[in-house]
Amino acid sequence: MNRITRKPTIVSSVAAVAAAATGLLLSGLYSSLALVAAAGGLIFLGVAAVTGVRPLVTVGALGVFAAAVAAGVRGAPPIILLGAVLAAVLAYDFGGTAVDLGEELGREADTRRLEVLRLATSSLAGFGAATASYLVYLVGAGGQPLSAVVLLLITVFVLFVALRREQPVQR
Amino acid sequence: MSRLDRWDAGLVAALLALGIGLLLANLVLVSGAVVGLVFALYGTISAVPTDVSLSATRTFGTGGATPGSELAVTLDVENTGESVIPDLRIADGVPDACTVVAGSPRSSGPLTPGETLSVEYTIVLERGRFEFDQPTGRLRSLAGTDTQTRQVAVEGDSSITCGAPIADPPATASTLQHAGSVGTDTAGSGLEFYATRQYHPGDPMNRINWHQVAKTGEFVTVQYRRERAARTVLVVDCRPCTRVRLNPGYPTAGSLSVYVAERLYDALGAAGVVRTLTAVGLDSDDAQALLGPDGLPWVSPDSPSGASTALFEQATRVATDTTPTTPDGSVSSAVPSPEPSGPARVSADGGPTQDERVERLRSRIPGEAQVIVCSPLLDDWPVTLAESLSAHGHQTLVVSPDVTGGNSTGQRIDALSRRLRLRTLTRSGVDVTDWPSNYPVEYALERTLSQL
Repeated sequence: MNRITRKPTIVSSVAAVAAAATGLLLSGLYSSLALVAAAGGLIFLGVAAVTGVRPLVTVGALGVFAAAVAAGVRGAPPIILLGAVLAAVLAYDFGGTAVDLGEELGREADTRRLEVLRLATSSLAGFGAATASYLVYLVGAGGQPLSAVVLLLITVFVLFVALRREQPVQR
Repeated sequence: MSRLDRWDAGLVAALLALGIGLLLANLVLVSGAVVGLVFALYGTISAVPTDVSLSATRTFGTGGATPGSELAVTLDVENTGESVIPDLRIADGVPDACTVVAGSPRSSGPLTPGETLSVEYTIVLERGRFEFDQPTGRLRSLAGTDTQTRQVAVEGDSSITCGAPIADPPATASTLQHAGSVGTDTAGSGLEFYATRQYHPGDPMNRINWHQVAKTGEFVTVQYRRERAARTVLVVDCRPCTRVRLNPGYPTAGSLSVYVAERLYDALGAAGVVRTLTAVGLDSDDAQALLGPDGLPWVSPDSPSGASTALFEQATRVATDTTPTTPDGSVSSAVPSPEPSGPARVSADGGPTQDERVERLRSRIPGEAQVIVCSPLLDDWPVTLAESLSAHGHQTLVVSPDVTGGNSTGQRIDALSRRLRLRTLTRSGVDVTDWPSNYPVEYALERTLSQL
């Protein structure tokens, strides 16, 4: 009869909502469609942070991502677009972590140290991703044809598939 | 070990951005796809270290011997391996019957080699023996995609026994001041002639029958009938209305009454008192075997040995069964609303009426006996009983475990009416021992036994 509050943990939930709000600010300035999509995403993430329903996290992050794409289509500068995409990805990660920890340990358990570590490593990975992305933009903007850049990305994608093959799902 | 597809979403996002970027020939969008791709890669590469080894030690704090007492538990999990564990989640195997009242048996954190994660929590114990399971640990990689679940071998304390009846009563119990007035069927020191036997070296000289020595030259010792302290009747109240808890996880008021009665029974037995035991509220079907013709179970000195243990066990079982009460287990919900106790009021469970019960009980209690009523005093019936017994010349004591300490309005009202009942009892000449929920049972024993 031990009661466990299986709700998303506080730190990660707040971080997820904050990331989504950043995405809303960045992309909402360039397109009204982006504003609507990001606001929807923010609401979904907020509901997910309270109820702990995992699909809502995905839908919310997708909304923020769609807003970033819409802003990119409307001609947002690369830094802004990068920031918005990164915000969507981080919102997805933090939201997922919050729901996970809530389901496995509950709100009563001490999860703060773990959450801060997860936030830090994900943000670091995000920073690396943004740098790589900006380098790709610089290569593309340096006069290389778009198709070459795309080919480069597809190569990375194939590498990804190869890595997955190498590590079988069940060990 | 299993793999979660957490970062497939990153891949989907990357392909989406790439596709739209190509379609619109937008370089910014194409470069944005890299973010999703990098995260997908990150999730794929990160893995739980292969050479993980964990050891755990569980220690119990002091306390936890009596039902309803709190026990502090500390679980220390140490990373005894060589590699850093980025994400460890641990849940201790707390027995289902125990309720955690403070802290959480679950914790998490990154662990460097040699580092220890400490999980501290407090549980409340009911009566019985409880076995702790091994703690379950779940390891995750940094990106959260690789997981591994394992049982952690635990050293130290893993089981606890709570509320076992202890044979030695507190020091005051074994030294009742009165020799008593009830004759028994054994030889010893006393006033009445009991038997003669052959002289054994060491017998006191004034017990030797000198007449017989003078007549026959044979040494014979006279024995007298041993006298014991007065009869004591223990009445345990475990009627349905007592089966309420102070808080979820704490023992019911009824089972506390049974517990204090059991300890008193042992203490009185050790002091040589003639004990009779009965319980009110065992009307349910599974307790039928113990009931006498008058609907009450009686254990008297000439009952077979083990009868008292059987009765206490049955009473504990019945008193712990809270099915008729509401799930939140609050006191107010199960206590009948205060109404004037008119004559022959029908009880809530449709059994014999209140006054009938009092009469039945009183008719079986020997005239000179003193009576100890163990009841949480959640309704007026124990008051009626104690007043009636006191009016008929029995020395009456009431031991009352307090379960009305909550903060809700209902519980406060119950606490108030209970205090009024205690005052009514004191006024009508009944000795009352109030046993607060945060005091050990020895407090109640000492206060009660010193009044006998």
